[in-house]
Amino acid sequence: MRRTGLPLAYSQGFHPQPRMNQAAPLPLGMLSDAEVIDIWIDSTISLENLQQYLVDTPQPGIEITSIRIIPGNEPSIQTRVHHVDYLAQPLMGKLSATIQPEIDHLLSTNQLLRVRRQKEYDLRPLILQLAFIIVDSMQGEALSMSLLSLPGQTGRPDEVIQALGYDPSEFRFTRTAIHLTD
Amino acid sequence: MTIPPEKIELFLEKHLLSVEKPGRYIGGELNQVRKEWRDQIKVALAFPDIYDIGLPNLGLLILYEIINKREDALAERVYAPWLDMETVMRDAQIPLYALESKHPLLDFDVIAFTLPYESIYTNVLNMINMAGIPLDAKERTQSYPLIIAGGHAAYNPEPMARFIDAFILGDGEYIMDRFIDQIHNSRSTGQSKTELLKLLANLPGVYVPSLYRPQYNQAGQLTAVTPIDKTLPAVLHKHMSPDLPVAPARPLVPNIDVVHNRIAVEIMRGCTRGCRFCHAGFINRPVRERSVDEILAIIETSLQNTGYEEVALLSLSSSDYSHIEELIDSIQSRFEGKNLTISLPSLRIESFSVDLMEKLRTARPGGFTLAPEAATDRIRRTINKVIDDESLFSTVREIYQRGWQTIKLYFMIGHPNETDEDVIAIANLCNQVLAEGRKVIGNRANLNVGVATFVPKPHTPFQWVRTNTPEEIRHKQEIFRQHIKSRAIKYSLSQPDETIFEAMLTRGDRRMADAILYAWQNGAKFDAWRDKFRSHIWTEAFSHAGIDPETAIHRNKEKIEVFPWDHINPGVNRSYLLAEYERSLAGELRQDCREQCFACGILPFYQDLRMQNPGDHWKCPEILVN
Repeated sequence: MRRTGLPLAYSQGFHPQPRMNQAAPLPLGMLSDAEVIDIWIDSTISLENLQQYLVDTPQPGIEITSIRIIPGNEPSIQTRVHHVDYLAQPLMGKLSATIQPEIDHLLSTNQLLRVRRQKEYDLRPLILQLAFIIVDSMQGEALSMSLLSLPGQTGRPDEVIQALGYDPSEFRFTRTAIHLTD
Repeated sequence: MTIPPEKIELFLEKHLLSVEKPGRYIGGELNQVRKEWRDQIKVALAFPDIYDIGLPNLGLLILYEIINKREDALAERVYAPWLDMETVMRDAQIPLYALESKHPLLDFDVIAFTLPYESIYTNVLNMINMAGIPLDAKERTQSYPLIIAGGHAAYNPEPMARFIDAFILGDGEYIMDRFIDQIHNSRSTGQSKTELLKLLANLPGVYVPSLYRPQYNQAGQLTAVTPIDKTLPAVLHKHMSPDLPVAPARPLVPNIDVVHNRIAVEIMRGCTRGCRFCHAGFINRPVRERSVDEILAIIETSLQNTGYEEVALLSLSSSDYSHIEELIDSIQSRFEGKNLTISLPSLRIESFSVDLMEKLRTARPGGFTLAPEAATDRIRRTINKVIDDESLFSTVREIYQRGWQTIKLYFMIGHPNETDEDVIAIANLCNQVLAEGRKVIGNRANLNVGVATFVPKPHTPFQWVRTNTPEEIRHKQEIFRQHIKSRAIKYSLSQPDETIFEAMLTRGDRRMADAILYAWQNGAKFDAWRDKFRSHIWTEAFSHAGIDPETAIHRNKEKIEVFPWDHINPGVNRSYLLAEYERSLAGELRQDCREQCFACGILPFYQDLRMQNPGDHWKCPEILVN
C-alpha cells in the first residue's frame, strides 16, 4: 500500500501504523482466492482514482478483484464475517475411495470434541457444509467446506481434515470465499 | 546427486508447517528475481546464518542485482536453515536448495559465501554438506560448483582455505563481473577446473588458496605463504573501486519479520579516524563518499520499489560524512509527512550529533548510542580514539535534556597494557553519566552499557597484541561489576570463552581448518548464537588440531613474526601498521588522515586509480598529473 503512494491514514501513538484491517486472518500456509481488507485513506478520493493508484503498482501474488469506498462509520470488517469457504485438495490428486461415507459419518454426529492449543472445543457446529467435489479446472478431487467464523467460534479446515482421519500436511488449502453479514 | 525442483516444492508443501517461521524457506519476496533456468552462469549467493539475519545483508543484495543484470548469468539466494528445518530436510534427504528456483545447490556453477565474521565458519561447512558437496576443495571435481567466499573475515582466508576454492578480496561488486566473465570463457573453451582456477588467480583481488603453500619451521611456526608458481602474485592486493557501486534499486522485501526491515543506504565506505583496534577501519580504506544527490535518488527509488518505512544511512562514522547536515536537511524536506524513519548509526561524541538526531526524531523515542570504547586518557591514546570526559558529559546532558531517556554506551576491555584502574574508570564513567542524566531528568534516566572484550584483528596495528586470558577477562568483568553503583545501569558483558574462540579463528593459519572441521563434526554450528555456542567442543577442537591458545593468542607477537595473512594486502602496509603499533605503545596519537596523508599504503599502491579519479569524494589527497 505504501508503494501505491496513496495517502494512507496512520494510527496514533508511539508506533504509528497504517490503518488496515483484514476480515479474517488467513491461517499460515494456506492460499486464498478471496480476501477482504479495509484500508483507511487520509483524504477523499474518487473510486476511479483509487483504482488507478492500485493498478499502477504491481503487487506480485496479490490480485485486486474489486474496490469499494465505504463510509468511515460502517462497522469494521472483522465484526461482519459470518462464515468462510475453503477448498482442501490432496497433494497427490486423489482422495480415498471411502471419503463419501466418511463425510456422511462425520456430518451425522452431533458433537466432535477436539483439542486445539490445550483447549477443548466442539468442531461439529462450526461445520456448515462439507462435500466431496471434482474441481473442474484440474479434474482433481477435493473437499469443499463452509466453516463458521465468528468471534470465539472459528472453524479451521485442517481440523476438519484431521477429524476425517487424514493428515492435513497431505493437503493444499485454499480459502475461496468470505461471507459477511449485512 | 541432484533432484528436480518439483520434488523440493512438494517436500516444502508437505513439511513447511512443521517448522518455525516457514517464510524463511520459500522465497517469493517482493523484488525477487526469478530467471528462466537456461545455460547461464548460475551463482547461488549463500549467507551462512538464518534468513532473518541474512536477508537484509547489503553486500548480498548488491551482488544479487549486479549478477542478475547480466543476460548470461543468474543469481539466487540461500541462507542457513535453522536447526528444525535442517532435521526435516536431512530426514527427507532433501539437499540444500536455492530459494528462487528451488534447484539444489549442486545445479549451480558457483556458490558464493558471505563471510562477515568468523563465528559462522561451521555453518559454511554445514551448508556445503547439506548441499551434498564434499567439504575439501581438493575433493571437488569439475562437476561440483565452484565455492567462493568474500567479506570482512576473508581478509584472513587461511582458516577456511581448505574448504574454499577462491576468495574475493575487496570491493566485490567490481570483481564479480570479471569473475563471471572468466568462468564464461573457460566454460566455452572447455577448460578444466585447474586451468580455470589459475586464470581466476590472476584476476585482481582473487585468491586461490590451493595455488599457495604455507611453510613452517621446525618449531611449527609459519614462515611464509607462497605461490606454487612464479606467474602468480606473491602478495594479493584487494581490489579497490574508486567510488561506491550502484546501490540496489529493488531491495528484497521479506514476507516475515527480519532483523532489519528497512532500506540500507551506504553513504560512505571506509573511515579516516584510524582507531587502532578497528578492523573495518583498516581494511575498507580509503574513504569514498556518495554525493547527497545520489543518496536522495537511491532513497527515492528504493522507497518506491519497496514501500519500506525506515531508511538506515550506513557508514563507519556518520559524523564524518562531509555533507551530513545537508543530507539530513534534504531528507527532512524531501520526505516530510511520508511516515519515514531515518536511522543514523555511529555518531561522534559531540553535541552536533544530538542536533542531527533531533532533526531525525519521529514519534519513536529510541535510545541514543555512543561508543567511547575506553575511559582513561592513557587507553584512549593507546587506541587512538580520543574524547575528553567533559565533552562526553555535555553530550549526554544534551541528550537527556532533549527528551531521550535511554543512552547506550559501548566500551571494550582487554585493550593493550590495560590495568585494573582502566577498567574501574569505565564503571566510574558510567556512574557519572547516569548521575548527569539524573540531574537533568531524575529517575527517568536510563543507561545501558555494552562491554565487549577486545580481539586483536588481522591487518590492524594491534595484530601484534595478545588477547586476554579467560581469567583476566573474568577478573576485569568482576571489578567492573563491583564498581557499578546503580541498578539503573544495565550492562552486558561478553563471554570469555567466546572471545577466545573469536581470537583463535580470526588469527588462525591453515591448520585451523582441522579445528573447524572437528568442531563441526562434533556438532558445532550457529556459534554466533550465544545459546548454541558450545565452548567445550572448541576447546577439544583446538587441542585436536594441536593449536595452543597460549602461544597462538595469549602472548604478544614479535615484530618480525610472520602472520598467516601477510600475503594478503588490504592496501595498508604492514610497515605502517607496525609504526602505528609502536606509536600506540608510546601513547602517541595519529590524527584524522583527512587532514594530512600519512602514507598508509593506499595512495602509493592505488595512485594511478587516484589520478584517474580526481575529486573530493575520495578522501585521500589528489595526485596531480604533471
